[in-house]
Amino acid sequence: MLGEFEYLILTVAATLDEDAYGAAIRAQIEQKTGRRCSIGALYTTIERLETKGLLKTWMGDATPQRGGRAKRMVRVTPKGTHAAKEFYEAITKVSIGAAWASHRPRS
Amino acid sequence: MKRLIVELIALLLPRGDREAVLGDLAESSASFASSLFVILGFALRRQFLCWLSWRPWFAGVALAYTTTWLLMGSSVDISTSAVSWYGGPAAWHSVPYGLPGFTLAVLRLVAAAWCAGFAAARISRRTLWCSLLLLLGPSISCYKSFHVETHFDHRIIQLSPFVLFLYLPLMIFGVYAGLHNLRPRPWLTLLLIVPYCIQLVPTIRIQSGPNFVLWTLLPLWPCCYLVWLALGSARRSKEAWAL
Repeated sequence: MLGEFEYLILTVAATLDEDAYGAAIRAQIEQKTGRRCSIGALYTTIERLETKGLLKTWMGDATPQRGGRAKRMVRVTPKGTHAAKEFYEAITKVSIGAAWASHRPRS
Repeated sequence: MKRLIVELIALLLPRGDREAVLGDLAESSASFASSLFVILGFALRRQFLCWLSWRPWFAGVALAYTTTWLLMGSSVDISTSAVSWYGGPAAWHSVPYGLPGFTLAVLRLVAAAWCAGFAAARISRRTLWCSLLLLLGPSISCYKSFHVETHFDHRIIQLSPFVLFLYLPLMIFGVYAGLHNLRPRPWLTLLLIVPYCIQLVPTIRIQSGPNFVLWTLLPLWPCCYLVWLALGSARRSKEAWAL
């Protein structure tokens, strides 16, 4: 099963689709969760996910905005989509009935 | 100047990560201090993660405890023979008698140094710096106290402590081959290793008695690793890289 941070990266990368690369994923995670995301943690997790076959990365084009440096583009693989879906379903099932869950059953 | 420092520190990262991280830092207009912090943090994190695997421990400790002493010993042996022959024409009459042993010692050094560098680079590429440091450590520590003399023709010839590092160029060649996934063909591997075994096995047999097999295999493990790789590669494909 995925870890929490792994799930965040997979979900944000899937949401960003063609525009998914290191800095964009990091900005989205920080914006949506309100938590700091370090570059080191991001890239080591991306590497781990790639080793597991859940992500695919490649070097994109260099842009002047990045000082002529290339982006590390990210794409979620079908295996990654499956793992993220599994994680989401497990979390959703476990959360039913919890006080903080928005869709808890009425008594 | 600050950019240059950041780029120099970023050399700690592999090329792909370096490019991506420096680009991300430029895109987010990170300050100098923040850039340094991020790069160093990332490099340390990567190193830490590497050491969670058995590979760097095996490469570093196993090489340091077995091969390094053999390399130093062979380096000094070869230097002693070479220096005594260099003593002058009077010494040359003994060259034919000592030549087979000397040639075997040179082959042994070539095999041991090349295989050690190759194994260090192949087994744990990211912690190669540590494996090399452990391999060179004993030579560096012996450097100051090194004092070996060879007597010839009533003369005393003092060996330079640099002979302790005679194996270094060959080891660097092995490291290069390991980093670039080059492998010698199986016949060349055997050519490297057989003279090494021929000389090592009888020596250790005399010194270690019945446990000689174990004590032979221990320093020989980088060679065994190379044979295993070369034979496996030959089985999978006949297009093995030439050395």
